[in-house]
Amino acid sequence: MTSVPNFVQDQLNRWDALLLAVGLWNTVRLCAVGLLIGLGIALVVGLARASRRPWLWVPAAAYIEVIRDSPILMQLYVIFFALPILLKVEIPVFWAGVAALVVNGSAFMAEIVRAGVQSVGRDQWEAARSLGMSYLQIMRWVVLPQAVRVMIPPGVGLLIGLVKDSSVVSVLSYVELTRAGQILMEKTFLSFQVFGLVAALYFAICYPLSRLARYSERRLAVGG
Amino acid sequence: MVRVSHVDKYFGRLHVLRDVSLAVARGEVVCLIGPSGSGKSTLLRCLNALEPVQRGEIWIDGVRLDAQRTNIRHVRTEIGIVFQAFNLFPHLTALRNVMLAPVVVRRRPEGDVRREALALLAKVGLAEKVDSYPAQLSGGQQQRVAIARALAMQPKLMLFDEVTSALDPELVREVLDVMKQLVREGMTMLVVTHEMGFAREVAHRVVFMDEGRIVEEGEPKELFDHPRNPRTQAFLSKIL
Amino acid sequence: MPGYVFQFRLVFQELPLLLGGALTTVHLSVLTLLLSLAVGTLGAVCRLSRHAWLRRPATWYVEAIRNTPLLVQLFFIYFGLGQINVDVPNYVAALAGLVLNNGAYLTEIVRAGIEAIPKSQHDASVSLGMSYVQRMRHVIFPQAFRVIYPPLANQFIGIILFSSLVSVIAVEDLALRGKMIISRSFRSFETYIVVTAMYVVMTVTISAALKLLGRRLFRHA
Repeated sequence: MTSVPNFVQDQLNRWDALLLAVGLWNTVRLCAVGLLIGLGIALVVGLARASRRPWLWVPAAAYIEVIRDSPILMQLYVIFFALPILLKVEIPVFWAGVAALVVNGSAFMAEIVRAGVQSVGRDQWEAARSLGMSYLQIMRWVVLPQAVRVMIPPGVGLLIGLVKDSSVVSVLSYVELTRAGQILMEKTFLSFQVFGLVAALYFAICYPLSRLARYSERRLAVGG
Repeated sequence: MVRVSHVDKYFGRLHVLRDVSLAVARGEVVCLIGPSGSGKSTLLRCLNALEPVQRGEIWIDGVRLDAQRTNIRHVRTEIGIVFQAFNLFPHLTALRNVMLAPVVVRRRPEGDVRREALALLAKVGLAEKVDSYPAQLSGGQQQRVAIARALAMQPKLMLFDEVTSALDPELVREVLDVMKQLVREGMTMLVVTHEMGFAREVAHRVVFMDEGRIVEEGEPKELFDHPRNPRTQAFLSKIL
Repeated sequence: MPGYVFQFRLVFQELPLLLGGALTTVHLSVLTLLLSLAVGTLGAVCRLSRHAWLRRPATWYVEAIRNTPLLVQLFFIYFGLGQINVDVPNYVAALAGLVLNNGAYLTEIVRAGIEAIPKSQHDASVSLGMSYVQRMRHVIFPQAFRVIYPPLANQFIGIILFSSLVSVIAVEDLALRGKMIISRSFRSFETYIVVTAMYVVMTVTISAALKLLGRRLFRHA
């Protein structure tokens, strides 16, 4: 059995490499868009969850709980298959994938936001309030800048999770990296080599992020 | 300037302020003294609406604090409060700590605010430290920044909540000096403190509180040298 | 929504099929947990070993798994076994993939648990003359278990949720049974809602049960 590097040299032709490149690019696109939108939603949901008003934190907690207790595969199916029937619109595969990543990621990210906001001590709130600042002003200038430092290590961890979760979108036959691997495997029947290569590509993205998360955790914990 | 009228306050079942009434005139400096748990800090925090009161009324410069129409945020901009734990914003330099509220709340132009902030920091003796972060400053320096931050909003009333209690003894003096300067400038001040020397020197009136009540009040000379109430005598004999 | 009538009845008629799938999900998850715990314990001991020839491969294993998607790992094993002409039931291939995956995460969890035990405990048991194995068995692991329990329970929930991916390699768990019902009844909305609800119910009840169990087990700690 040929090793992965030999496989890459001998068996892959230009079109195969292009397929993998397209898959890789689509994976990056899914994650980038998903991250951007997910962060926005996570901020809103996380702040709602951290609130003391029941009409805010109860729905937020319910949303977070349901999403965290259901598989991302099912969330993807609901969005792609079930929702169009309900809303009478067709959802393109890319956006169904993004939506699933957003829904799933934002629920976990919201908890990170909540923990970050709640890590800023009450006395900071008091000092800012006694200067006459409004809730939004306090959030923008005092609390969030401090909360963000706490949120970065778990946030990077979440990004890694997002990259891995994006592989699920392959079940909709969308050509992200995993699907590209499946197509390649169906052509060459060299499963170990193909998926070994695909895994290596995912690793190339995730491992540096892993190191970044660990590094940022060390730096941010000591600095204070 | 300040009128507290028959105020009662509870923390849950704990009765921390009992029928407290107090008036502070414009330009007056009043020192609140008393044992821990006597309610002095709580009273101060009620004046800023950081804590609600269950009974009674609080009037600040003719505005009733708990009235429906009162814009609490606006009232707070007219009152400056300095805390025992400084409560500086750790992610901002000393200068930006002082500049933040006037820029964000009063929406004043940054150039003007910056000039005033630099002047304030110079006034409290920290001209060379304007770009330092709180973590790089000593306790006394941080507290002086906190005072400058409160003064930046040009308040009509300044509240001080045991501002030297958390400081090493050598650093207390520099903070008290700043406060004395404010007294000379005619600021209306309500100071909760353990520094009897300071109270004796600058206060127009000293108020002794115990167990949530105002037990005795009077001019410093009177209260310190000839306390009338036995509880006042007991307290003073323990610290003086 | 004009023109669409909800017909949950059709889905509920197939409840036995769904419950069978749920059962598969559960026993697959339990087996995965037990086997992964064994792998994780072994991995943790290697990670903490003085010997680099044990420590390094264990570290590579953990990093390789944690930085690649579960689905790719499942495909790797499932199609890979086909490539070398080994014939195993899909269930076994799925189990292997899940154990390989969770073993890495459990390695980290067990390692954290062991490292949480203060050195003084080691010193005390060594000074009593206990060997490495005796120390681990009677002093360290029992205490480590208390530290491990909450993340372990959490990981089990994760196993249940991620086990849905084995539906992609034709294992008849709850997710696949759902798809099968849809291909018969075309009621994708109702079916997916019911299946998702079943996952949520399973997860929430198991999570609550584990929390209660934890409280009872560690009452004296």
